[in-house]
Amino acid sequence: MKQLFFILICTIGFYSCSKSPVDTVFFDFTGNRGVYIINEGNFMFGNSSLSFYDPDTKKVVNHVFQARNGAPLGDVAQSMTIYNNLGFVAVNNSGKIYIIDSSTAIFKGSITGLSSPRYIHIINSQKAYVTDLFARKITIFNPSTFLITGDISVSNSTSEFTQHATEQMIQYKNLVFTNCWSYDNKILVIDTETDQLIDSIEVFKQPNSMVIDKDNKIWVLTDGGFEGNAYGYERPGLLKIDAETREIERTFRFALGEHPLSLCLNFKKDSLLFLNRHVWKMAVTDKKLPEQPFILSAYTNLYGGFFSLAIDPSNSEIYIGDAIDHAQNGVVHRYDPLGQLIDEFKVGISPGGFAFKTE
Amino acid sequence: MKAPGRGQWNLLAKAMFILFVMMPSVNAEAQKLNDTISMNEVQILGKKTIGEVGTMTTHIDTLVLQMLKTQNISELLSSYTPVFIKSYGRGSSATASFRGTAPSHTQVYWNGLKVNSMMRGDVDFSLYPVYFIDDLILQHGGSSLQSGSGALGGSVLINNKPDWTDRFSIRYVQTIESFSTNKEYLNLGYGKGKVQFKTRLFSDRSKNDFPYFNYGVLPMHQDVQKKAGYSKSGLLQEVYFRFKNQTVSAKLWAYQSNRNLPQLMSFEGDTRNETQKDKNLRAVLNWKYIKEKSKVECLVGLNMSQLNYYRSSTEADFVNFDSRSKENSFTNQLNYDWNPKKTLSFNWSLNTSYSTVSSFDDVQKVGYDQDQLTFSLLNSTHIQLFSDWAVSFLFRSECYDGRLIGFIPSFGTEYWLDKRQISSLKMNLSRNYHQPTLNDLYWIPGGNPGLKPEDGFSGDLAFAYKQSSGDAAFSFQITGFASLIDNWIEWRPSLSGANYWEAGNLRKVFARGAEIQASKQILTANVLQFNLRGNYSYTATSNIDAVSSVDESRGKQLMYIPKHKANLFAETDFKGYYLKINIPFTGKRYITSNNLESDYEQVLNPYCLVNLTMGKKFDWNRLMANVSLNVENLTNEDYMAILWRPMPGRYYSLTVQIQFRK
Repeated sequence: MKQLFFILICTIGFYSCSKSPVDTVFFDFTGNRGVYIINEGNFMFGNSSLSFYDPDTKKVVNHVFQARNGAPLGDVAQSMTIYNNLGFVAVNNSGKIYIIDSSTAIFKGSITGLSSPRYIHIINSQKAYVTDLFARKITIFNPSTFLITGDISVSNSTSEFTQHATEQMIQYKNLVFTNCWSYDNKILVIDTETDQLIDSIEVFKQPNSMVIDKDNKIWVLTDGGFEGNAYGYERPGLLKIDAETREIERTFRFALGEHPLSLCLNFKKDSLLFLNRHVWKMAVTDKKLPEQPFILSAYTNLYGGFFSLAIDPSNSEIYIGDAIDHAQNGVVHRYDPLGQLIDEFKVGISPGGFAFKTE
Repeated sequence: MKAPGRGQWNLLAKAMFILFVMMPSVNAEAQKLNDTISMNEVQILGKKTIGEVGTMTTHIDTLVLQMLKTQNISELLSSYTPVFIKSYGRGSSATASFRGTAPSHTQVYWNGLKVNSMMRGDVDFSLYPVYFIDDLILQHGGSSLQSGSGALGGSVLINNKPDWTDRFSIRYVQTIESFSTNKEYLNLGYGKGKVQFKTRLFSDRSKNDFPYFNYGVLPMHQDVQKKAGYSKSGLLQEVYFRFKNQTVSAKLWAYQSNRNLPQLMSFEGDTRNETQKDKNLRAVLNWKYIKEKSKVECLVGLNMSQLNYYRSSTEADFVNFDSRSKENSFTNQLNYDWNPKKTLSFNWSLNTSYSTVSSFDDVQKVGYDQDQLTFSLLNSTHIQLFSDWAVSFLFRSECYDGRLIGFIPSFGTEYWLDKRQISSLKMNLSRNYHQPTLNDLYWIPGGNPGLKPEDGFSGDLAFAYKQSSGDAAFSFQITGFASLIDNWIEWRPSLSGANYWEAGNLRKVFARGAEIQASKQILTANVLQFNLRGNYSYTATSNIDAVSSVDESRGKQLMYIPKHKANLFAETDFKGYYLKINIPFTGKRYITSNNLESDYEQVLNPYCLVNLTMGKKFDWNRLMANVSLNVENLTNEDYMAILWRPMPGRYYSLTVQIQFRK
């Protein structure tokens, strides 16, 4: 009985597991040019994060959201759009948008109840669109009040696949163009004044990214699906579409098995950059795909390599995200517009997107 | 999340202190022996002890099986063995990591029939109720080759046995638990002469709506777990016949489970309906012919399982995934044991298995159909060379999909340090391999038909001590182990930039560590019984083959595998009243491959739970009853087993058992 009593006493004594709260860290990026890196984290781990990099001082701050607000960002942060000193972060698998002050990272509010938000496009101070992978609608919200004000149905009941899953958005005049990547081959055209779907453009299979150049030509990169895909498997492609007439003007094809992604424009909007294992660059006037990479990836292993790409809209500097094994802190490589390495820094897990703070 | 503080280490140190300082201090002057463990070992094996020399096995005490009869094997392994269980929460799926290896490296056999998923390689232990088990054995490391290959960590053997003394019995157990949980179990036994029937039924339902504080969203608030309910039910039917030299048995296990899959704490999206439905049917027919010096055993087994995973966004009326997978396996096994002398034993076994799998997602419209034929031949020899020294040698030859793995050897030896065989040294060296799962090979997209099997070498060295005198018994075992696994399979985004992940032979993993197990039983003045049992495991599992220059994972602990794990169990019985306390400890777990840890680089903090059971047994000759009150997580510890998945705080259950036996 004595032993039992002793054990019970010791057991009660176990419970000294104290938790010391982590202090809030205050940031002030006011007036700093800089770039937020959106670290996706791993699906169903809830470990996405934001990093902030100041290109002048070459200083990076990781986990800015959690450090400032004491809570995690959520599961799979997909993209961030900065508007009017606010950062709108689409947290894909948490079904929400978190809004922060882009100078202090302080939490300003959230838009919840979404399905699988991907990208945010701000039309004006009263209207913004959110695309969605699993909703078959584009949600409209007010970027000043953070309230959902409506939606635009993009359902296509004629396909055997659940369409349309909408992705990136670009604007030409009063029209927003959005690419439908998942099991799809359409670019949808939406009138921002009436919030109506007015047209669609058929492209190659699975358009994954797009930009609009200085001549108002829309460039669309397609990945062609994968082997065994019921929707199809074809050579990836690049298409040039006139935004006014919505006619396809030129097409380019990659080899089967290649995986081009992350189509970007330089500052003058006259050159295209994209990833296809390496970084490739071509002028918008080129009549064929480049034959030599612009920035060579040194990776020769089975995994790792360039994962994301973005161009600083103010000076054409190139930012490349490298996720390594997608289970540790990734690296961002920063190059000058001529392809010379300027800096490398560690960020969060799976750096998949960039948002440039220019204000 | 914070880094673990000094207090957490103190916690572990205290647990270890109690475990090992207390052991020898327990009163050894008691009078009457009540040695459950050693009695069980003789009973469970039912075969030559020579067959056990040099092997590292753990027999789970029947006392523990009875105590946890209303729980799942995942909870049992987690609380009473060195095996680490990665559980997604109460009622959710739970896989095992044995000695720091992957879930697919733990092989599970039900009455000799392998039950690992052919597609995923793992076993969801939350689907196995302890009530359906009569005997549970762990085979650590290379010792698992006796049962089959592929267990780079170890094997779990789940067995059912007849009770020939049972002429008629009926047992009903009901548990009412917090969070609208209701469990019911029924056992019917009938036997006459050479025939024995046993029927077991169970049902387990829960809303699982436990409260927790949600610090995964802003603003933080008190929350309730949503859409986490589950219902499980099952049937186990056994029939046994015995004749002069022969026994025949047939066992059938039917099972179904419907589970809602809850979202992460940070989820704030539209109503999401995510479910998993499992159905299993397993049957084993066994025939044994036993002679004085030999035994022939023939086993025919069938294993059919279905899994349906479904996810939809209800507001958008959009089905995201609706995948169905079916797996069917048909197994034949022939064993021959020859025991020419008491000190010599040979065993041959031939196993053939044919499996078909079919997987298809109605939304994504992708899937695959495959089949696989596997042959495995075992040759083993156990020799008692001298009275204090025995050796064993076995090797397997296997063939799957036309690929021959010709030589998978294991060598074991045991040396007794004294004539009474109280203390011994054991050693085992082996090679093992694990074939890629069918998903690794054929999943679309990303499956890689060119994958090589995972190839492992492992070694164990153990010191065991077991003594019983008067009414006290004490046992202790310390084991050191090391294994090197090459061609470790992982899924990664490919270098090509494809948006899907691909399987590859990417890692070389070095796992090493130690396991310590100790137990003590005493009976004082014939009325007060006291049991104390504990184990501790240290497991360092690291990738030693990080190839990229920026990859910082080289030499770091693998994600989600704790270096430290410990359990403490104490029980006391006094005149039919009993009090049981179980304290499982799980150490810190990293969730990045480079083990980064800072204020905001998250790790999962160590945690220690206290589970308390108190009750009273009633015995009215043929009618017996047992009433117990159980408190789980007595100290209301706030912890995470998996990142951003809430776990319940303190909760209660009341169990009533009534048994009639003729």
